[in-house]
Parts: sequence; C-alpha cells; structure tokens
Amino acid sequence: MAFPSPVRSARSMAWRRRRTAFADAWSVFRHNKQALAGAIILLVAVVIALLSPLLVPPDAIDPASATGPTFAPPSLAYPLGTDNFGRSVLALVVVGTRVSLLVGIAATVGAILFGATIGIVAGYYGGGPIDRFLSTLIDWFLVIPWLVLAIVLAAILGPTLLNVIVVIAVTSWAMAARIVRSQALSVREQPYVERARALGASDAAIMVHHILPNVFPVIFAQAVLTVAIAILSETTLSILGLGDPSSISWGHIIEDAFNGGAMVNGYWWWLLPPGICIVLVTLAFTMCGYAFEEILDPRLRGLEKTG
Amino acid sequence: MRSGGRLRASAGALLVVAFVAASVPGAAHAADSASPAASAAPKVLRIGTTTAIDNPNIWAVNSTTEWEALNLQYDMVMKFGDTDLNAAPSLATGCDHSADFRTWTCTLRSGVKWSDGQPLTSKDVAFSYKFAIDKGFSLFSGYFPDGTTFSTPNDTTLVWKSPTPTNGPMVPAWAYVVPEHVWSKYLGASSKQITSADVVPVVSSGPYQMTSATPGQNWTFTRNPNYWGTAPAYDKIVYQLYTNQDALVQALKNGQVDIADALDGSVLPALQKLSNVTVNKVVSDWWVNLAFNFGGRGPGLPALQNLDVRKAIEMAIDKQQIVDKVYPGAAAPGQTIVRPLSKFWHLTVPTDKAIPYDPAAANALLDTAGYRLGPDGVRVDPKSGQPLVIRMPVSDDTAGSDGVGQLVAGFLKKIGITVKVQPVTAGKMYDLQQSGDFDAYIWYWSGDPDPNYQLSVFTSDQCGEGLSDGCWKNAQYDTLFAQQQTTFDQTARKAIVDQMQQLVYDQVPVVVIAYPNAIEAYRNDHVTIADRVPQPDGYILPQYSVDALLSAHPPAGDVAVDSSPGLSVWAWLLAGLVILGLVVFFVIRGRRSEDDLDRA
Repeated sequence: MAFPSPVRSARSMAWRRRRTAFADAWSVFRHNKQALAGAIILLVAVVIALLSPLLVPPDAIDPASATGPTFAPPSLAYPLGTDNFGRSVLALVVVGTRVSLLVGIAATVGAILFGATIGIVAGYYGGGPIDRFLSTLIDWFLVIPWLVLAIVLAAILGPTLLNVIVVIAVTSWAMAARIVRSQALSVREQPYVERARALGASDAAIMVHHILPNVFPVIFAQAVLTVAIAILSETTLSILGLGDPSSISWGHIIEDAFNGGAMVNGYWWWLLPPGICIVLVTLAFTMCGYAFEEILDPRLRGLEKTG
Repeated sequence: MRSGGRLRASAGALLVVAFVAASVPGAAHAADSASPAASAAPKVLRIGTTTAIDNPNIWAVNSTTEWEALNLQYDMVMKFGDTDLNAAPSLATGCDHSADFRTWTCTLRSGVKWSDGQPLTSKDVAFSYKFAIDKGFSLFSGYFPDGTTFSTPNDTTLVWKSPTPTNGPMVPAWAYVVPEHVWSKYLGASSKQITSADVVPVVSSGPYQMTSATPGQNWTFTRNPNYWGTAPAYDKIVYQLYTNQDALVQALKNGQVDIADALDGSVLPALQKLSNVTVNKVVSDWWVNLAFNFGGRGPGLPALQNLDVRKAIEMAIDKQQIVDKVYPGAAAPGQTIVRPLSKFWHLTVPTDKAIPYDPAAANALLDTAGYRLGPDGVRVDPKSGQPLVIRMPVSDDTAGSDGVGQLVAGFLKKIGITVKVQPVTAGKMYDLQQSGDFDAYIWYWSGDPDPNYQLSVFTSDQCGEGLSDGCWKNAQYDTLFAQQQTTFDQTARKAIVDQMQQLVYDQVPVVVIAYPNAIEAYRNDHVTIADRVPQPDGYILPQYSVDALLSAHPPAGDVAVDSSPGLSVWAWLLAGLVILGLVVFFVIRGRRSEDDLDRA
C-alpha cells in the first residue's frame, strides 16, 4: 500500500473538496423529509419500470389476447378494473411507468444537454455578439407558448415515441439555458478563469474544465425539475392524441379512457390510477429538485434552520 | 358524389378542449325548452352536435351537420324515400323516361313558392343543375353524365337530355334546387366568391329557413311560411355546437338539448341508464376496412397478392371481438362493400359462401401455401425468403381506428404475420394511398345510398390517381360494373350488384371489418319522434331526408321537468381535483414560506 504523498496535487485537492461537498449535500438531503419522500417514490417507480417486463407478460396488454370482461370495476381478479379491451388497468399502469419515465428522462437529457451547452457558451461570451444571438434565441423559445409549439411540432413530425421526446426537449431547453447562462456569467468573472486564460487555455478548455464543473450543480437541480415538466408534457400531448398510440404511457391510458367514455360513464378506475401516478411521480421529482436547490443555495438552508 | 367517400371526423380529435367548454353553451336556453310550452311561446327544438357548423352557404357544405342543414331547407327533385332510400316524389311528383333512357321528363308540383314569396319553377331546377355543373361543384354535379342538357317547356316540366343512357333523376340525383333569383348574380363569380357569399337569411323551399348563424356556435332555423308540404310542429330548430361528446351528453341530460346528433359509441352505457332518453342506433352507413396493396402505384408486400394469404388474414380477424371491444353495442361485423343502410342493395353473404373466423384454418391455409414459420415466429415467403411483415398505416379520421389497428395486429400475430401499426393523419393517408407506400391500411368508406359510387371504387379505372385503395384489378368485376351501369331494371341490376359484392368478398382486396352505427339520442319527455329514414332503423336527423324530423312533435300531456343534472358522475372527478389541488398547494406553500423569509 502506497504511502499517501504529503504533497497534494491540485487534482486530489479538488476531489477531496468534492467529496466533502457531497457528504455535506447528502446530510442536508437526508434531513429534508420532502426530499426523502420524493426519493423513495422515485425509487419505487424506477424499480417498477425496470421490472415491468417481468411483472406483466406481453399477452396481458395485447388487446387481441386480453380475456377479461370489458369496463369491469375493480375486483379481486382485477384490482384496478379493466379497460375497453378487457385488459387489467393495473397491468397497464405498471407498463406505462416505463414509457412515462423513459420519455420524461430522455427528453430531459436532451433538453438539458442542449440547454446547458447554449447557456455555457452564451454566458462565457456574455455581452458579445454570440451571447446576443443565443440570448435572443433563448428568449424566443421562452416566450413561445410551449403547448402551441409542441402541438405543431408533434403534428408535423408524426406520433412516434422518439418524436414525442424530441418535441418535449425542443420546448423545454430554454429555461435551463437561461439559468445556466446567468450562472456562467458570474463564474466567468472568477479570478481562476482569468488565470487560466493568462496561462493560455483555449475558450473551449475553459468552458469544459472551469465553467462546466461550476455550473454543474445548477444543471443537475434544473434537470430534476425538468423531468417533472417533461412527464406532464408527455401526458398533455398524449391526452391531445399526439402521443405514440402504440406505446402505453400513463398519458395514453388517460386518453384511451377519455375516448372510451370513462368520464361520462363513470369508469373512474380507468382514469384515476394513471392520473395519480403522474401526480405522485411529478411531485417526487419536484420535491427532490427543490431539495437540490436548497443544497446548492446555502443561504436558503440557513434561513430554514433559523426559521 | 356526396362525400368523395370519406367524410367523418375522428372522435378523438374532438377532445382538444375537453374541460374548458363543458359548461358554456346552451345554459341560457335551458329555460324555454324545459318550461311547459305556453301556447304563445314559439316551440323550439334544440339539437346538439359535435361536428363543425361553419359555413351556412350551400356550395361550401362540408360536415355532416351542414348536410343536415341543407336537407332542412332545400328540396331535391326526387328525394330519398323513407322505406329504402330509393327515389320518391318531392318537388317532382314523378319522372318518366324515353325508351332509350336518354330523355327524362319530370313533372313538378305547381304553386310551390320560395320562402320570400317568389314562385319556384322548373327554371330554378334547370338553373341549379347547370350552376353546379358550370361552376364545378362536383359534390352536386356528379349525377349528370357529361353533356347533359336541361330544358323547361313550361313552369312545371323539366326535361333532361343525356348523350348516354342514364337513370339520373331516379338514383335520385343528390343535387338541391336553389333559387335562381338569388344565385343568378353569381353566374360570373369565381367559386371562392360563391362559397364565401353571405346567405343568411336563407331563401329556401323546404320546411325551414336559416334566419341566424353564429359560425362555430349555433344555427337557428325558422319555419318557412310558404313550405309546400305539411307544416312541421316546431316553429324553430336550433343547432348548437358542443366541443366534445361529454359536454353534449351532459347537455342532453340537463335538457339543454332535445336531440343529440352523431354521438360516440362510448357514451352509450351512460345514456342507456336514463329512462327519459331514447337512443337511436342507426343502421350503418359506413364501414371500416383493411385494404391490401397490390402494387399498382408502389410496391407492397408481394405475399399479399396471394389470395390464400388474404383469405387467411380474413379468417384470422375476429370481427365480433373488434365490434365488442372497439364499438361496444354500436356496430355489426363487416362483410360486403355496399353498406347495410342501402337496404335494397346490401348483400348478406349466404352461410355456405361465408369465410368464417377460424385462426386454426388460417394457419393451416398458410402452411399449405408454403409460408413456413421462421425461428422468430414470423412466417417466411417461400419465393423471396422475405418475412411476412406488414406496414399498416391507420388513418386517424376513422372512428375507433387505434383500437382496430391494435386488434388486427394482435390477431395477425397469432397466424405468424407481424403488423407494424403506423398511426397517420387523414392527409398523410391520402399521400400514402396515392404513392402506394404501404402494405395494408385501415381506413373507411362511405358514399351514396345508390351503390354505383361505392362499386366504382373497386374498378381497375380507379387505379392511378383514382380512388382505388390498393389497385386491385379484376376484369370480371370491371365487366359487371359496366353492365350494372346500363341495367335500369332494379331487380336485374340488383342481381349484378350482388354478384359484384360476392366477387369482392371472395377475392378479398379489402377486409370489411365492421359496420359501425351512427348514434342519435333524444329526450323522450321533450319530444316524440315516430319516423326514421329509412324505416325502421335509420336516421332521425335529416342526413338523407327531413321526413323523420318532420314527424317530431312535443309529447302529449305534461312536459316533464328536467331531471337532476348528472352530479354523481362529476363528483368523483371533482374530489380527485380537490385532492390534487391540495397536494400542489401544500408543496407550493412550503416554497412560498421560504421565499417570504428570503425577502425578509
């Protein structure tokens, strides 16, 4: 076993700093009841999503193979009742977890990757022509009513799962970009950025090695909040009939329920379970997201303790 | 022809503004339709619909509700008869033909007047027909062979002269008679100027005339004082637009409307629970089909040109299950290409010639034909080694299309055929049909009561840029088609038409999946409606003729007071929203208290 070198490299110092920061953050997170509840809900949802192919055999959700009675209210055999094809709503909700989470997370990854890149570049060149161009672009996307844009895009691209993800990403990157840009603007003024520049680091290197690590926490918190919005967006698009009809998501179940007369006939078991799942999961993401914001903003933390 | 075949909006598309609009329209009118009708107050019949009412101009007719408005106001020379939709006297008391069927002489009623008091003569008829032909309104002009001329020896006689033998007036020709003194000033106008002309109040000859129109909201019709027939019981008819089915059903329950038009099958269970609502399931006037691509426009899966494969697919599709799950209680399994509404022409295939649902036989048929199962459970074409994978676009303007698509895919999977369902918009579907870029598709057909139009769709001529679904070509069918066009004896023509339907059924260029019903419902405590068009299971509302609606009158005795609104249905929904609101509120409140501290 190698003896730890008394001379600390810059890298190891940075890692040590990060470890401490993480431990600190975890302790805040752990003591935040909302965040813990959110995390538990998410864990359950993710486990269900991953296990859904094992929990529900494909035949159970194939309309042509379903054997149950149609529109049956909850019973022992069908704890959440059945839909118009005689499929168990419970099975649908379990399967829907996977698509809903997948769309939510994939769209968020897309939106955040794009938004953060634009935000960092705009912030780094703050005030210059590049920033002016990118900021205008961000503003433009922020002021367009997202639902209108999403409907138009979804109608043009066609209803596939990938397109739904693209549409949601395109309509939700601007907020992340705006926040990252403002953070990058302040990081840019730090002495170490100037020092790096004096040492001859290129713009790209400074952005990747100095700006990105420092705005990363903001990006992360923003991402967690964006997932909630993305899941709601997917639901909205599905209910409007713009989702992918061949993949079962919670939003799609609700759309089917509407079209199948759930409202007017009082088939509450068809409509409520996916709705509750959406509320729970978006709530969980939001609660976690707020907790991360709190961790990143020590001022908020201190205030809560005194208050 | 009436619809170019395809005229139906998807139920799903109507949901867009589901929540918002539920309560708005009609509330103010509830009082006068519900209150016991004092003799002084005008009797008003309120009809709710979810299909667009935009342009009251006859030349711009587009939606099914707009067609109803035409039948309320205008007359045809011969109309669709009540018994079987064959020609019956209307403006004309009858039409006679020459021995060669090239000259027809129609005798009009005398003394008929337009709603503004001007006399309606044979000149109006000749003008209307010529106007439709010259201005290219093909919806109305398709009934006149090229080169047809009209003459008017006197005010009550109209003479058709056609260069080819025709059964024209007796189809009957679905073209309305419009007032020459209103439209003659548009003779030099462009079709855009004509369709955008302001027509309200409408000068009409039928039982009602439109007296006010709020586009996208409601149309009001007032009784035409000069109507030549028996005066209807109601002074006014109001069509009210609802943005979705749920809102329309609520309006019917609450008594804001007396009749609900074009209801979706999904609302049946709710309606059938109500004793004061009578549901009218209309014998089907359209069908959902699975059409195969024969490669005339663009290459489809070659295996589908093999009759055994198509037959196997027909056998593998459980039409009854599709009916039960997609159109519960509101459809019949499909069979032949002339829809059941055309009672006289529709063929029910005799049992010994029917292809029954039998997935085991379908599998055996494919085995015998050499389509062996591959290792992944998908059959393989013995000639090309290509797996049987079908690209199947599903058009979203077909009610129930999503469900049908999924079920068909499920059934075919069981006989080793993989189906890739591709939901598309109707616009995209036209492109796909024209480019032949599909293997099979799900769409629908609807047309005239006369079978000529529907039958023409399957002729070889309709390949290319025509209406043919997948360019099926059959010389025997083409010969029969030409024969039925020149056979004017009903019974002889019926025999040929039957033979054609059987031929299509045997050759399976399309699988007719289902005949969905149209659904109407009315408050039997507000209105009594005895007749249907056609009798006894046709429409109440004037899709083909106004006769059934003219039989409507207020019920004898006391007018019932409105039943209580369907609160129970909404109660659970409201509870759900309240809980959701509370959850959101608490989270936001948590945030806000922090923000307040922040500012302090």
